[in-house]
Amino acid sequence: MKQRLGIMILAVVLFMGVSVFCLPTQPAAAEAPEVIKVGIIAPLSGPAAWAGAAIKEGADLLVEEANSAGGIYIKDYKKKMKMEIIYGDSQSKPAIGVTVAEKLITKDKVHFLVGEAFHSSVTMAVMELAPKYNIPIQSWMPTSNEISDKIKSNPKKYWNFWKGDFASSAYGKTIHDTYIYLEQKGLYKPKNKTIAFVIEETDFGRSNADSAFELMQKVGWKKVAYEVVPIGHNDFYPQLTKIKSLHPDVVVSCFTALNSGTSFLKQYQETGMTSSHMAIYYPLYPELIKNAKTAADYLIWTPLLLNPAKIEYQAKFQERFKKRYGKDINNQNGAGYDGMLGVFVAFQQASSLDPKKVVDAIAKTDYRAVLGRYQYNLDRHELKDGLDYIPIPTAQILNGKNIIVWPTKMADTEYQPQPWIR
Amino acid sequence: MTSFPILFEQIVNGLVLGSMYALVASGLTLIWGTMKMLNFAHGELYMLGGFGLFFGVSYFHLAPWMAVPIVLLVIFILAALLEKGLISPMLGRPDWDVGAIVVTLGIGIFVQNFAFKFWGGDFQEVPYMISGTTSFLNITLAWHRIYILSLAVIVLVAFWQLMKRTRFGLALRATAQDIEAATLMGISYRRVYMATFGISASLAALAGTALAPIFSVNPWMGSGPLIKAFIVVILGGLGSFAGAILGGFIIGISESLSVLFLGSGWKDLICFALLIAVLMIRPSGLFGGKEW
Amino acid sequence: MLKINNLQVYYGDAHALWDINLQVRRGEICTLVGANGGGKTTLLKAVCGLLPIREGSVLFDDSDLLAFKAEERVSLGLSMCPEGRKIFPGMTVEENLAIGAYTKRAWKKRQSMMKQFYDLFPRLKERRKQPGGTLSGGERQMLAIARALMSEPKMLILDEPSLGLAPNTVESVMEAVQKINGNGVTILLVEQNVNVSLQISQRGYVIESGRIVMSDRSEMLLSNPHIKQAYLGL
Repeated sequence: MKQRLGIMILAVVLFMGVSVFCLPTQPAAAEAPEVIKVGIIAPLSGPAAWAGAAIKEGADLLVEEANSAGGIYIKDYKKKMKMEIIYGDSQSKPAIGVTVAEKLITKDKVHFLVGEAFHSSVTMAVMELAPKYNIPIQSWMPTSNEISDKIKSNPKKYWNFWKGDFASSAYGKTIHDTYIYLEQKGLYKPKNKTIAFVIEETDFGRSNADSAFELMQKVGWKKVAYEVVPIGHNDFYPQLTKIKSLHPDVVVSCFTALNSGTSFLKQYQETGMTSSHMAIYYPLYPELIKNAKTAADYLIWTPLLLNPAKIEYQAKFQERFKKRYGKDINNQNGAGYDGMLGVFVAFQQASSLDPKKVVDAIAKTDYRAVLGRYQYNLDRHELKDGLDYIPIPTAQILNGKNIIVWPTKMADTEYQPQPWIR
Repeated sequence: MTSFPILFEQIVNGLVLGSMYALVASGLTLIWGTMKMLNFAHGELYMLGGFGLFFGVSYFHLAPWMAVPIVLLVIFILAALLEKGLISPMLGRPDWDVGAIVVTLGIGIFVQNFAFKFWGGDFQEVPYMISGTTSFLNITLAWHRIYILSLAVIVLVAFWQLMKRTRFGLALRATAQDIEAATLMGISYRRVYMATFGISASLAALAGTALAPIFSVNPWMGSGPLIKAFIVVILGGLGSFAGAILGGFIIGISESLSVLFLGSGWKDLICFALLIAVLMIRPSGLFGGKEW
Repeated sequence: MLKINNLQVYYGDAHALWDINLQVRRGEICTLVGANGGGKTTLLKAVCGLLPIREGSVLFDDSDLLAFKAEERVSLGLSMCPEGRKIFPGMTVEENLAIGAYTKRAWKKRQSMMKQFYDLFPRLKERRKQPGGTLSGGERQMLAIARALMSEPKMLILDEPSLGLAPNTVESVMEAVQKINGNGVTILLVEQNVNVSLQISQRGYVIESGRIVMSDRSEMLLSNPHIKQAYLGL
């Protein structure tokens, strides 16, 4: 029976793996293709499926808009062509991501591959396919520095791979700069210069925490805890109990999952934590304040990428998105839309399906979209960040609203001390 | 380095966590113990419990304590019908255990995608059953956690009594131990299976309603607890009720203690190491192979 | 009380029982004897509904048994004590007895019934909190019989009650069977132990290779040369 059970469980695991191959497939492309095929690999099921679904909404919206405007003129075939997205589900797993990528390239014959749209780990695996298949490949939301480190060390090998997000050190830099600023202004005074991290088990979480600590360490800070939890984790009592006993000055939390963030904020208050708290990423979800309610008040966090009230482009996007899907935008929606806009712009500039020409067009990318101005840093194949490109400010949640408190150039108000700090 | 109060607090955290695991695992082990079948849709039944509470509270504006029994009843009926319609036809066929596994897997995938399609992939918040926090012995705990711990204890004790004292409980155990002999006693094993599936689903749904305020509700919320529940039941011994409870508490406490002593990253490693160690000494789990 | 007419039973495609005709009269002890593999247990399973019946009829108290599912036959008053006892090993003696009274009618009376069987089998009373799995062979057999009687049957079918028991235990089991019969329960006793079973019964059937080959009054069978040679080793 025991052995039988083992076989059954194996069968189940295989079944789950094989289901990847059962996604709808397209017949092989003819000589003059009907449409421009873009393959997008995203976590469409599994623990990050919500992110995949949101990215898909953004990308689909752009394609609908671009296609109804007539499509892209391609000189090679002397006609306007529409775009079509073929999705592949990575299930948040690198190995599955690679399988799906191979399928999209060889079977569906996509002209452009997005691999992956969300996870750094999957991207690290998929980017190894770049030298094997000479088609443009791009990642969208992954920020891990390792991706662009690899590109920088071997630009020839990865000529056709582009990382469509900024460096992960950007968030760390904001954390460092924010606390330095608060200390200088006398708004916050650390006692022992100790810091604790509670982060998600992703390359994204680790590289953010690591780059933040690297900078903090240089100005004399010490790390007292580094708690890594699985993606979508919800019960933080064990971590918080431990951290509380270590009395750090600052706690930095980083999750991509909204539910983790909500739980963490609530439990941070429930367990009576007394450290300053800065969050990375999850307060981007507009639902966070609704879900965590007062537990979200006074939190400082980065990056406030969406601010439709202040940024006109985002307000317009919000309006179109709401009309199409009946809900407010979130960061993944924006990233999906912006990413797909980048693909559109690249084909439009190249006016060709030739991989070489499309990649050249990506390198010259310069467009404004939901999250900011998109331009590549050419030696690392990654997006530029900063005030002129994609700004990464610190916001504070005050009375249920997000208000920018740093950098001073963008700030709408001054930081309010977190009332729980003791 | 670690003082006693912290250790104590961490053990309390582990007990709360463990009671959550025990609640999810008990339904899973009940199905195995009675029907000798694994239910891969257990996580989705748990998810339906969470969504049920969410809809009850947000759309029908019921008080949570009123919504929970209604949700349990609905899930019980739904699961019993699923058993009757989809699993029962597999019974008695050669290799039915594999067939039934595939059916439950199918149910799980269907329910997950149904929820995604019609209820959306967003994280839905459900209020705590009892809001606020309390302090005792230097420990601060949300009341909701005390609710979870006491709910788990009450439900598991009540279930134990049901199994020991009632006509139905005896029939269920008799069926689990020897179907043919149970039939000779006048017990309809098909009806017992239907009810067992329903009860197991209600236990999953109850866990879903209890944990939803902490874990948020969404179509994929069931997969994490399901994997944990599998670890718990294999540790405790497949089919053993006592094993599921003890296994739940062991995993919960060892998780919270490994966070304290080693760091969060070690938590799962310690759990699996514990599981492997137990299986090496007792290949069928702590209480495996024992009849109940 | 029990009438089996022209019964044919198959295991899948294999024909297992041919043209079985058998009758048990109200109030008697009737024996069905035969060698191992002769079809005794197959016949009982068919009567109890654990095996499908393709042809023939089984009447119990004038109602057609085939119209009832296996578990429903108990409430008609037909109870079987299966081969190998099939005690529920994880349930205590008391729980085993209680589940014997599963039918709605019997469940209400289970306490008084239980008392009655504790009087009949004092050993069971001593062990009433012990799991069934820890009992000795003789105790299990007594428990199995008591459990089968908890449903207050009109007729009890006993499948190989003497199997694996020491001679003096067999004797006390047979005494108990006679006592039960004395209380008005019709008994169909199925045995390999031909001598013992024919001694306490009024009539007997002999089954060989799936066919009834002989039926007569018990004392006639005991003196039959074929029986003597084949089963009694005389």
